[in-house]
Amino acid sequence: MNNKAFISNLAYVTDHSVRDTQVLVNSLVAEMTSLFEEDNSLVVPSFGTFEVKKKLERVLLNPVTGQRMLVPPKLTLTFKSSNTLKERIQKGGEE
Amino acid sequence: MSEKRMLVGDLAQGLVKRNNMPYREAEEFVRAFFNEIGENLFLENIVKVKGFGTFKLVVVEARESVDVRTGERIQIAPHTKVSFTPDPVLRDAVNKPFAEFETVVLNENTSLEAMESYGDVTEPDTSSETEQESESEPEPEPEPESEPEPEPEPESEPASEPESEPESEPEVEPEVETGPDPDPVPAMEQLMDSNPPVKTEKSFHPWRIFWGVLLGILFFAAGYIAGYHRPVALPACCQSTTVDSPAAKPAAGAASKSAVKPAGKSAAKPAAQDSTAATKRKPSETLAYPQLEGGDYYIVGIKGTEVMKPGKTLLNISIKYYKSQDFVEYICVMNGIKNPDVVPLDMELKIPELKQK
Repeated sequence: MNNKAFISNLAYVTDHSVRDTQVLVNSLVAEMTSLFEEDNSLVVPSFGTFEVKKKLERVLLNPVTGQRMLVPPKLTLTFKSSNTLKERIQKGGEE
Repeated sequence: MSEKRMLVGDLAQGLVKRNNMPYREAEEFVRAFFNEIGENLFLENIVKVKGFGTFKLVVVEARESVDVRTGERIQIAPHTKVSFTPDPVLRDAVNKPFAEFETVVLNENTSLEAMESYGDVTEPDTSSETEQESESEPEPEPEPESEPEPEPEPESEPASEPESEPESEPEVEPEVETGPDPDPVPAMEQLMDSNPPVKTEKSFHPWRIFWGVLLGILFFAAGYIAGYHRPVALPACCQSTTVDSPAAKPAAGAASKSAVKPAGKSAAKPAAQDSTAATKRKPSETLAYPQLEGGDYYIVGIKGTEVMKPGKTLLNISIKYYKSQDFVEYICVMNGIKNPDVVPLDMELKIPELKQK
């Protein structure tokens, strides 16, 4: 499902116009981005946890050329689904 | 970096500020947002939110594993999990502190000890220093016939084993061993092998010893430096090496058959001392100022100040002082600016004086 379909579904559910929803989603995303930029984690009940994790630098070996590459450390955003969401998935989305 | 656990309420607060909406409505919207992601996930298995990321349902097939407690083999049932891939925009925003790093191809003989000694500075130094040392080395080496080989080897290993990281060990061993072994030899020696066999045995033997000792010293020196650079107590190690080296230097001059061991040691020591001194010199003049990690320049002073006014940007300040826009990061580092896009008005910026590394 792409962004557009998602926004229109969300608009339907929340009783906003599609345009308003788009604006709200944009500012919500901007808000989350600024949260994650500061290394905060975000816990959404019955959905999951977003967390910024640091991946250490590592040495890669290209098996074909035998070249060794040094991959720099990086910060990544990870998502862990909550147990309630997991259970719902196992049941196939019914509740 | 605050590293707090944020909840839906905090997000809603942000929405309230950004959109002037009542808190209750904002909170409801945030909940609806995530709920809708969940719902649509079940409907279509994939949900894309622009600027945020993609949620996907991924089927994980059954696999065997071992129970950690009992050691029994167990079957992990097939299940579906949610995968989340952040949008490139968000991914880059999160990774901003490390954005300047890139994947580098390592040279074949780059030793991994360098990773331990934070500055890249030590790397070029050790190589140049040890090369100089190795030029003076050949004198003691041809004299002793076959004895010296084993000596530098055990020496270099204990030196690099406990101090440097484990990855360096496998490197040290095979390379040093190829020296004494007649079979696996570099191309150069194979060429010599093709010559009349009786003579070559004598003629290339010293060569092998030479390479063996050279490698041993190289790794010993690298391990030595890496070991001394990890703890931040630099000055102490410099003092001790300066005391050692005068005593060790005459020993190098009086290199006899039995003195190869101390000679090898002393050669490594001045090398180590030189480079520690060299690396120490550089930080000392830069200590007073924050430094840009991975940059080509040291910040050594303050060139001037600049007050932020409307219309001024870090970019055009950089161009004004350095004739290039590449120095924005140094200005940021100097003034503790985390986000170069947001600089408070009327902030007085210190313009760093730079010196090439």
